[in-house]
Amino acid sequence: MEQPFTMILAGGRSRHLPVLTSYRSIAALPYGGKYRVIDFCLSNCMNSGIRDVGILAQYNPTSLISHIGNGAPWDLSGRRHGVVILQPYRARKESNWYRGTADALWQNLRFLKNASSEHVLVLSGDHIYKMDYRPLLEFHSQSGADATVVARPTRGIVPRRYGALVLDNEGVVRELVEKPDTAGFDYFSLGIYVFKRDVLIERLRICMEKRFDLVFDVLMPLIEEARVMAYQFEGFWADVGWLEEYYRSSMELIEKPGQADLGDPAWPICTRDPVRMPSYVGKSASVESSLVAGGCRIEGSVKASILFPGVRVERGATVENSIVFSDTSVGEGATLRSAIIDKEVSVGRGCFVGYGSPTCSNSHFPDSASFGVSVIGKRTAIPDGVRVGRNCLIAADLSEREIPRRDIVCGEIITGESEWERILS
Amino acid sequence: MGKNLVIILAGGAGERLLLLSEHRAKPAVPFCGSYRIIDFALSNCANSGLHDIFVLSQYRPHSLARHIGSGRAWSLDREDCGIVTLQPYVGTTSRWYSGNADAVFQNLHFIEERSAENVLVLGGDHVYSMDYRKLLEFHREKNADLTVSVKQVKPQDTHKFGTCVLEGDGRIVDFVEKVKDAPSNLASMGIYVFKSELLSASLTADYQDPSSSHDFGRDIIPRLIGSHRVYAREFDCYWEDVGTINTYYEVNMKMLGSPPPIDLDSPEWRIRTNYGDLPPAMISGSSSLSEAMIGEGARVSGKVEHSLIGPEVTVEEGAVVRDSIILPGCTIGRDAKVNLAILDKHCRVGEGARIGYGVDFTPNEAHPHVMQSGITLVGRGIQIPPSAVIGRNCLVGSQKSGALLHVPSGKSVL
Repeated sequence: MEQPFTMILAGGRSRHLPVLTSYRSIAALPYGGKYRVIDFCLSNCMNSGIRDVGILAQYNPTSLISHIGNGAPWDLSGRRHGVVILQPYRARKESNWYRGTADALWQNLRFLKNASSEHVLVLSGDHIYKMDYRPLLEFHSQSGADATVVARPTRGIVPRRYGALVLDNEGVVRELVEKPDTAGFDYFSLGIYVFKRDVLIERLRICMEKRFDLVFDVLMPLIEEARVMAYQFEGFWADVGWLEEYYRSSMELIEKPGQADLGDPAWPICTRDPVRMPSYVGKSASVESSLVAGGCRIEGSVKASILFPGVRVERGATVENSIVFSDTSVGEGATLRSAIIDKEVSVGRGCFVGYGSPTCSNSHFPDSASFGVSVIGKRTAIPDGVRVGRNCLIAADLSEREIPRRDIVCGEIITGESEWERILS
Repeated sequence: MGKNLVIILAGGAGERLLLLSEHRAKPAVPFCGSYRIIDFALSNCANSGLHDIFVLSQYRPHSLARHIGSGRAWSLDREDCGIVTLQPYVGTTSRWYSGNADAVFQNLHFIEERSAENVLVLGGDHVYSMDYRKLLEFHREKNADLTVSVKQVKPQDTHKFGTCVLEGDGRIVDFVEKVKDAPSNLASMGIYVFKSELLSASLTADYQDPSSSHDFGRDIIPRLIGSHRVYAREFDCYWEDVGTINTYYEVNMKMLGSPPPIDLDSPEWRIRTNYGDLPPAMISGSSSLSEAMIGEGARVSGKVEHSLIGPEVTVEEGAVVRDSIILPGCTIGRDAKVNLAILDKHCRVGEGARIGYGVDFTPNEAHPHVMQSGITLVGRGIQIPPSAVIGRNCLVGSQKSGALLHVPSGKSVL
């Protein structure tokens, strides 16, 4: 099988992951105790033998760029192959931000044209899944399709957030209905496509007059006018673009470890590994049903939680049903219950995050923070003794001074004055 | 500031580490779960901004070579310099290295090619965090020909080291290697800074001396005292030679202290290693952990007390690991009990087996002085059958059928 040129769409932010994606794209979101979301896609590439990858990044790409670096963790670093991050750029005549997914591809047409392969694999960097792309590419080239869409059975659920697919008996896609409200669809699209390169380029050229979306303006016309096949995929896959899905899918890593099987030697998931010392569990500590990455120091009690590298849980502290990102410290006697705490946060002594029961959704993000989990943003410092209820959102980079010294009640949002606009945009 | 070249002496067979160094050089012996002993020297170099490194190895170098690789784990994979492993080779002399000084002598040509101003010679088998820049600075300030890093040791330990006597400004006036009645308790740490020309000259002279044992501490250093400006710089932080099974055990266990003697993850001085790409450790609901170090990729369902659990180790339900060091990739089967033992990599302890069993502390028959504190040592890849009972001070280095079902204290199966 010849090498396809692979483009990963990693530009996405999510309004449904408040606080967690205020400084990073979904692709760069930490996941699973030491990974970032895009590691799954990149590891799939590595394990499928793909050696040339372009990553289209526009939204807050700094943490993504430093994570990808030279691509070596995924064997994407060599003299004649490797990974390139394609960001918006200025040109002589026209300079635009990426106005849509199709535009992002169009503005990097040079890469597509220079690629030696006849096929282009387009992936979403925002999903957690394990997939061998080789059978997909094989299927695509054997079927002679102009494009192939990876389809997943809906199992009777209405794919409200996705493109629903109508297939004929031969697996040809007859219709794509974006974000349907009604039942009756058997498949939905995972946002993973293979295109014949020349077909893709021609189609991009046509739509660039005024439209810029890969699904609406490239794929849908192709379904009508050309031959688009569906390739079924039923393996492990999760969309973590919603707070609740992110939380649930993370917790399943503990409850059903065989499902994502992060340690499968046949399909390693690689990351830019912050090599840390083994984690230390102290004398009076207890750890139960949890994932613990390296460099943690646990003196308190941890239950049904995920600890990223370098987390400190001090004496008498309790962490339950929570996800704690790298280098955060949980002070003496503090409690975290059903919380997602971003990197380098300091939770003061005797704090209680997630107290009480959820009585209302978040005031500003009722759709996202409504299932009882509270989120604290990167590098924020919670002063000693502060109590934070359920469905609360506390923005990143807040100093102790900016946190009110009172109970932060269920559904509240706390953010610095200057942050309101950004948070709510 | 002139160029500095580092030479790490990593040829040691580490015989007193018994089975742990049977298949690997001493610097490649695993330490504190995911590390190997040489990580300290390599990380110290990288953190000190020293990137031009020769590693001299001879004894069973494969683990070491694989571990070092391109040096990327320590950011030592550079365009213009980097880390190079030098093995004995067929050429003008075609001899094995006979002594650490001879190892350097045989590579003198490559060393001189680097035209460094100073050559820093280190052992690859010590546990410590040290900024070599301070040592090099001291060397320059004193305009020394040779500077030796020294440390105060307990009077009862002086016979294990080279010891020296100093003048007021730190100049060494007497240096003797491993003698009973040492003249002081200032021990040489086996870390030397030579002016490059002096290294060449003294190694060449030593080569021509038929009576020499070609050892830095025994032959090279003592001969330079008096005739050259030889200085000592005292180091007062943690430093340990992991020479015997007992010290290996003790130094590893100290890492469980609060605080441990060295913060391996210190942001200012991180000890780095080449072991990664493992998922977070999975601690199940039935486990209980206390005073434990858990490596990544480990799966713990049993009970772990005061022990080091290396990466990719599995402790199954009902198993109990106490006061033990379990190196990477081992599996402790259901209901097995491991007490005061060191298990080398990829061992499997069968269901219900007991290692370190009973109150009989008979010293090991073959190594009564090295193996008397009760530690039982199991070699790499050994499969302990289910329900086996293995006593204390035992050495288990092979698995002849039936021989491991019952091993009384002090016995060896080799």
